[in-house]
Amino acid sequence: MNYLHAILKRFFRICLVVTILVGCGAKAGEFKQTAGEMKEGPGVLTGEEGALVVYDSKQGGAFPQFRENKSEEGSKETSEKTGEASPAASDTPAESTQMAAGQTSAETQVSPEAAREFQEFQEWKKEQQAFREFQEWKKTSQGAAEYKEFLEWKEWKSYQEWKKQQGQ
Amino acid sequence: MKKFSQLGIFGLTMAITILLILPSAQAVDFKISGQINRAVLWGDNGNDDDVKFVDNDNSSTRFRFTGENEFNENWNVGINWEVQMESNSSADEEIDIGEDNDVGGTSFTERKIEFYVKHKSLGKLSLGQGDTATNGTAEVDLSGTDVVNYSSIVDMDGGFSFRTGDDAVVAFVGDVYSNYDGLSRRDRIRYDTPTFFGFYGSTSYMNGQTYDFALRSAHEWENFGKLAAAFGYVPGNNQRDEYRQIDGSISFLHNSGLNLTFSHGRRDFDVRDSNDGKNYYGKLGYKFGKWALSVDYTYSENIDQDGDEAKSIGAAAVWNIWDSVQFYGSYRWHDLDRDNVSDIENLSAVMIGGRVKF
Repeated sequence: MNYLHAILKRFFRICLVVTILVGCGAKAGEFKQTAGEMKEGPGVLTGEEGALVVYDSKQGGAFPQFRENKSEEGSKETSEKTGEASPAASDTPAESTQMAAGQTSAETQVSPEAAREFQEFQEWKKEQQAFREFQEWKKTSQGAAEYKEFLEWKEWKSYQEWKKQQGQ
Repeated sequence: MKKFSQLGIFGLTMAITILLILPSAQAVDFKISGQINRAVLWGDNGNDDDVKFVDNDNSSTRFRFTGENEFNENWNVGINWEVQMESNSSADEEIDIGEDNDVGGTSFTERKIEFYVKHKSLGKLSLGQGDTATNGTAEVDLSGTDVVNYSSIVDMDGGFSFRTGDDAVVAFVGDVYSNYDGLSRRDRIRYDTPTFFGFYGSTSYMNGQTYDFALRSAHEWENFGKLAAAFGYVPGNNQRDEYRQIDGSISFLHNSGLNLTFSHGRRDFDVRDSNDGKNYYGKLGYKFGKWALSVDYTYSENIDQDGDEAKSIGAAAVWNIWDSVQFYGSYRWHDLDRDNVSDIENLSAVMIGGRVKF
């Protein structure tokens, strides 16, 4: 019976802690057991993923890690051959780099116009990605200090434009 | 061993085949990962000292296969197969100071062999060998030094023994301390609720008509820090576990890197009418850059025998030199008081090693 009382007491203490946590505006986090478990994060042989991905349908099938490396190499090769400096080459999606790799293997003569168009395509892709990231951030950061700061900056920006118009 | 390998290859082939031929799923993945965790362990039992080359039992050498199939927005089914292989486990009594041989018969040992079915709003049901609901409830630790020091202090040097001044063995470190961390890993069925405001509950039922309950939580404050906690209860007193047990742990990590961890466990031996076993553990740590440092204190009572009092002080440093590699060092001092045995020597140990994820 005493044991049951001890358990009940502990349960009430837990309820008290829950109330305090909710009252203090704590955000729910993800519970992760670390002690005794395998190390989190990247692996020396498997890179950022931290595991040998045998198959991942989201990443496009079997062994996506190795395929990605290949396309990165292909893209590097392309920028070297076209002689155009393309800092974003390694970050670009596989689709565009594969296209470039295809052109290289066919050893077609790349005109400056085509190279410029390719670079513009890469920039457009990058901007699209950035826009998607912004939308995601906007969705998840509602109410956060950084988001409030962003809104204030927007207000200040429109004030500046209004001031400029007044001056004209 | 041969049988194990054959079974392993068969199981792996089946898993890959099943995962690859399921085109109706929204997302399928299958991954292999692992780690190697090796260390040099020095110990001094008051009469003699020795150096050992060990597998760090705090987080043993292992590898695993994981896979998941997302059938639709709500339903996921996955597998988890994790095995460890420790050559000279730091907690094995065969590596005691003065023993010259390595631990024999190194083989794979099971950790997790389970599948699970998960629903977004109904929770997760797991079947197989794996964590019981209460496993890990006394081991919540945000210090970043748990690879070498956490509430289960026997993982570092549990294979060393306390000796009298005459060099007679009194008890092994692994027997006189316990964090009473739930029911470890067993063959069981387990249910986890979905997470509500950072809290979730679990229960499991296993062989021997035994079962357990647990509650876990994780919360964070943007400009303050993170808090994680767990509580476990084993009603016990059944065919398999002749005791009742409660345990819990809580860990707080401030944004500055300063962190505090507490763990407590208590085992009530109704059946065999001996005193309650108790364990208290506290840790103070600091994380900065690629480093994590900590000091801890443990007090255990009546774990091996009635009247036992064991204390331990530890200090640890972990250097996360690269994301996939960490090096660590730890010092631990032990003291045991036992009724009717005087002249028990203190024990010291130092562990230096590294963990590499591959």
